[in-house]
Amino acid sequence: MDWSKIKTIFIITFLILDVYLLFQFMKIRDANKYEVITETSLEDKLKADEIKIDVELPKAAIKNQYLSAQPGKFSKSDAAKLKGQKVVINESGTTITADLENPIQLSSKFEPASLADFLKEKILYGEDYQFWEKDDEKKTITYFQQYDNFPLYQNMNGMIIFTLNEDNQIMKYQQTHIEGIEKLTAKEDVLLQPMKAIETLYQKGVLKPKSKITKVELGYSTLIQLAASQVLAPTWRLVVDDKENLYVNAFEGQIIEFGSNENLGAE
Amino acid sequence: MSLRYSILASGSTGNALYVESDEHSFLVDAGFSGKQMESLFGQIDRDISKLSGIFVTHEHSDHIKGIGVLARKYKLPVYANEKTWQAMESNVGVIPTEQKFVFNMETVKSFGSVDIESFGVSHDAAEPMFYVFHHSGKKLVLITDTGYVSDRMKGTISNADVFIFESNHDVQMLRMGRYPWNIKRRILSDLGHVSNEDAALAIGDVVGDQTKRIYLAHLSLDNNMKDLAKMSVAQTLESCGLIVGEQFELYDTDPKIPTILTAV
Repeated sequence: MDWSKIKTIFIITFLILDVYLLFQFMKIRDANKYEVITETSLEDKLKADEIKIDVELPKAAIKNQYLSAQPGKFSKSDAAKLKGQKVVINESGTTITADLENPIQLSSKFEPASLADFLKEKILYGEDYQFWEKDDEKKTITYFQQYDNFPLYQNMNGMIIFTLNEDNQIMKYQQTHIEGIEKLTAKEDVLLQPMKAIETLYQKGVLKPKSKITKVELGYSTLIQLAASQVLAPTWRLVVDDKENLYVNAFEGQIIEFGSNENLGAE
Repeated sequence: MSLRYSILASGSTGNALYVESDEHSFLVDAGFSGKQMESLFGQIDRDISKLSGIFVTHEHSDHIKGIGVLARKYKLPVYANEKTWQAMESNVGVIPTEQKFVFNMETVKSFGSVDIESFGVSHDAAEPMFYVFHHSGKKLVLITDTGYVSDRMKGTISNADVFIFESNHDVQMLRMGRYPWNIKRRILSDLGHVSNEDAALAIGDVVGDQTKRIYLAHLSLDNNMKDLAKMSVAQTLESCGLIVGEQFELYDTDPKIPTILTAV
């Protein structure tokens, strides 16, 4: 065969192959150029998992700071102020246990407002506390102390537990009270947005699919328990389906799990 | 005749301690740039060029950042142990041989009436060591950057007039904080840093009749607070029967502002 013909056939063949490959390359490159890498937003993820936020979230930046506080001590003169109650103060002076001489009858559907006057008039520092929950199984009503209208979540050193009898009457209560609440650091810091707290709870699998966030609230939880005082950190509380409470440290974004074995009056 | 000191700055962003007698003046660590070190000296109205030497504790950058610049610019002698010299060589740049001195661990060097004693600590550095300044029966101790305080260390530092003592973090704040787990583990380890509570327990073991002032130093910016450190240490000491304000005072230190020059 003629060598020059072979050469020509080779050149033409490879030229056609090159044109084909170039065409393929351009096609792939163009396709990639218009491919937008989209990351699913948190809102979309929540929507996909049917998680609803049924509350208006604060959007403005909120500044806050750590607090320090000590367990308050009750004195005999404090006890003497409590009329119509048999009062016992524990050894360390931090817990009052009071039996009511005249039990308070509650209506079948408890409304916190019905105890407002009793708290104000018959309980030491009663206005410092806000209603937390009524537990029908344990037959208790719990109030936690507040600071500047922010609740001190699950704080055993600042709570009142009322005990009910079978007839739905308040028979007795136990009380602790936090005092000397002070801002710990001179400088305020911006809190994480509640949406960030929701993101953390979602990412960690704590916020389950098909759940509904029904309340978002800012308060304080105990970050550090020292020998004679405690440090309180700003904390987001998210209520899920009107029953489950989830807590996130509003500075650091960590999920807070309160111990279940804490007792009233623990120091 | 007295020994005077100023904690020029203390924290993870940089550390420096100035100590002087009537005849000599010393700098322990220079964890800031040359300009920043000059500014800190300006704030206590002292002249860097008059230093008798710079004493290095270990090669971490918050302790050596300004060593090379100061040594070259002011022709200052620099003292460190052999392993620390090797470890920091590449970071401090060239220091003329005649300015480089070896100060080994567990040894004493005398400068006039001041004896400077070195002792080892437990930290993730080549051969970390800190210093005790002795002068006319008085004693100033600097101990930071240690994962724990051993009985041996306690024996060396006990009953000082002044303690500059690490109180790096609150364990709960560290655990709650945003640091990656490996960093948290490092800080909490025996080669890391002393927490507020551990500092208090160690302080409780080493304070004596002579102790007048305790400075809480190397406070973490992210995992501690001045108020918290003081509160935590004071309460732990109180539970050991040592009341702050009765025999000794407790102070915090700042990452940027020098303490006033104070006599031991």
